[in-house]
Amino acid sequence: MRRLLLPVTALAVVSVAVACSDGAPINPGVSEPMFITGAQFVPGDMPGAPAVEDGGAGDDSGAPTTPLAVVSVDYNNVHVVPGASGKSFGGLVTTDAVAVGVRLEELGSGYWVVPVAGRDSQVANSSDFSFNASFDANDPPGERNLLMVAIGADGSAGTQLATELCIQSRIPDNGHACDPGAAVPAVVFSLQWDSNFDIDLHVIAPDGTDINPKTNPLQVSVDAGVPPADDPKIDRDSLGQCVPDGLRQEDLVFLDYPAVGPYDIYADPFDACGQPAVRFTLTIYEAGSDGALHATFTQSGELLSGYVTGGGASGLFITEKQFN
Amino acid sequence: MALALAVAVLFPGTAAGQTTPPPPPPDAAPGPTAADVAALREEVGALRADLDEVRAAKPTGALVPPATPRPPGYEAFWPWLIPPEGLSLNGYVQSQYESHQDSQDQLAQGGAPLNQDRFSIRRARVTLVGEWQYAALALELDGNTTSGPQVDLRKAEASLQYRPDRRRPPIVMATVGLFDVPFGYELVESPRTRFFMERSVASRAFFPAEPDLGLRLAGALGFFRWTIAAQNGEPLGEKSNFVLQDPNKAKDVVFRFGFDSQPLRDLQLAADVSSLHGTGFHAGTDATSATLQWKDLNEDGVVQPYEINGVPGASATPSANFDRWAVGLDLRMTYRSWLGDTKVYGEFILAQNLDRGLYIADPVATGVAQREMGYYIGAVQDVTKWGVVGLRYDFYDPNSDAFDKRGGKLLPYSEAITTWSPMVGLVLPDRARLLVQYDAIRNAYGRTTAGVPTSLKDDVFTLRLQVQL
Repeated sequence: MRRLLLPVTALAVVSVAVACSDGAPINPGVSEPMFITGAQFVPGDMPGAPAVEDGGAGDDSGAPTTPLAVVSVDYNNVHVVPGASGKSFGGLVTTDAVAVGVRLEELGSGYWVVPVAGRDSQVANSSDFSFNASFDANDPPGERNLLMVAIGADGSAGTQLATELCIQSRIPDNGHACDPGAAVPAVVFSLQWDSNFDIDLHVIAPDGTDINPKTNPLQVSVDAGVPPADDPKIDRDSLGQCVPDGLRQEDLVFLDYPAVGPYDIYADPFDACGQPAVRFTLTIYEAGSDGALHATFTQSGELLSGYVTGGGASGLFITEKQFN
Repeated sequence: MALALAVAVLFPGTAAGQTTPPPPPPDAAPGPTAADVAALREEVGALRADLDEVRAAKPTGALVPPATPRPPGYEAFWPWLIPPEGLSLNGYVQSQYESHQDSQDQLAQGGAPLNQDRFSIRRARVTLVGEWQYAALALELDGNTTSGPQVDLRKAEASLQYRPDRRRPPIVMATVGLFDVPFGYELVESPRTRFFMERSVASRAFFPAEPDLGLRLAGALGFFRWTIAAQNGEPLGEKSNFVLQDPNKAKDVVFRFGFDSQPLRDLQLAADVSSLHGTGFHAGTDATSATLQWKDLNEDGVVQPYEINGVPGASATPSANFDRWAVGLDLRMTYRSWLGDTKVYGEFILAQNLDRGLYIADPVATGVAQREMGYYIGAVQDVTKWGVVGLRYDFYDPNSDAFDKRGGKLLPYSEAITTWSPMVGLVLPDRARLLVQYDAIRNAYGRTTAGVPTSLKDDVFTLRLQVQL
């Protein structure tokens, strides 16, 4: 058996040596606040000098004036819908750049590296870059800088360019996160769950109306951004027809204070969508004196596929909320 | 007992010629009478008749060969196995723990787990082999938990054969059924005898699993080995909707010619050249109906009238075939020394449009033929009969014409995957193996901070216990 000692030791040494060798780390995927398809994730701080207040490195004509710089950034909308997928960004860098580093300021554990494409056909001495970014639905709402930096062939980096974004709140807040002047809703009932199970939020109002996303479709909001100020609205039919939406969340939004009386809240397991069970959490948010939404009630529970109603009942009673 | 007695009576000189019988003791009993001798003669006559009857009932040719010391390179494989006459049952279990550097506690798009640090049953196989004078049968079932619990048919071979010398492989054998693609050495080498955990990357890319359905003609004449096969070309494990089926009428034709010899008592040499020519399939598309599509052009999450487009229905598109081929050379040498067997072997494969497991080749879709190259070289050293140590290096370039776009320039680069696989193990001869292997993998999946393709951490550690019947 002593003859085995040498090869076993050799294997251990080789294994340890190889395991400690270089190699790019795996992409963390959905565990980062932003994911860029086809890009490489690099842990740690992004290289380059910190961003300056006035941003880009181009002059008024758009032509680059400094070496190794992100010249301009183009995107459609400053707002980021919670959990947005495939939000497109593009821009120009100086021709000495081979890649662009991208990260959300003060969020995540590293940055993404996007290779530069080809020479731009319209702006002299510049190259194009573009990428599609997806955002975690739980990213903290509010204004947030998207930092970009040009990276040269030798790994050196220029000055970071800050681009303003605003991540909207996952809990409907009437755009308050990005516009502090907008008043938050008076009350929000928010139901979230953990698997691709079609649960519907049912609320029985004091007048007996069953507010839900399926049998009362006229009350479903068609404007997911800012709900109208009259009746309470449910913002979406999440997992409707078992189509995953990545959110698993339905919210009943009272922009004004609700009518006085009891509101019975149910979680209706409409369709199991092939899932054996689902765990849900109901949270009630109310506007505070500081002008922000605060959770005032939370209740979790579990539903099994055997409880599926198909819309024939209101589902599992969770709580009664009394407004005076 | 009766047979021993018969032999003793039939060949009395053998015993009498060896030693002189000792004198009887003084108080010995009196000698046999004539009646006793007559009775014995009658009994011996009856036994001789029985023996003649048994001999007459046996088929012509030698009896089952007695167990002999195994020659170097004894790990025979189909169709060169020499199984026992009649039915025999074999089986083995390979259970393992593996750890991957690229594991994450997340799910891939679609729900497949990204974590691969786990215990698993890699192979649990039972093989029923039937061997008769002119016919043979092989039936193998495999159970594993690689992608969840599943059971597959791995071999279903029905063969006719001409094998006059029962100690040698058949001179000619015709097989119809499910059998390993006879290309190169790794595909036909049994996972039961292979010390390395899996086949090389190139072999797994070309042939995601070993078996395919078809017809095989094979034979062994002296040291010469030949195999010709026609198969569906959709082997088990292929990433398509046509596994073990065939969407086109053309068959993949495989040739394998070589030798297997023992020029010295302690040396075995074998080599083969292989070729494959087949027809791949590019699936067409179904007709579609018209739909409405919303594209959030301003990315505000709200439907605007100008963001809704009508997508007209599309007609079906036809399927198309494409050519694929491969040529290969494999060599192996086994030398027996005081330390044990030393096996050195390798294989080289050039192919076009054959990748069916990793970088799937479809020249109809890309418009460009995909040229592939792979090779490996390995060595396995017995350390007495209780241990083993090995090292294998394998290389696979899935696309010799790969380009990367950087800074507006198309630059040729290598997508090659290389793997160093050191391995050690403890062996209970013919019963069990405890093996440890580390695969140091270099690929081109990642990018450096400058955007240049580089290796992504992908190393694998595997601990495997194999126990066999």
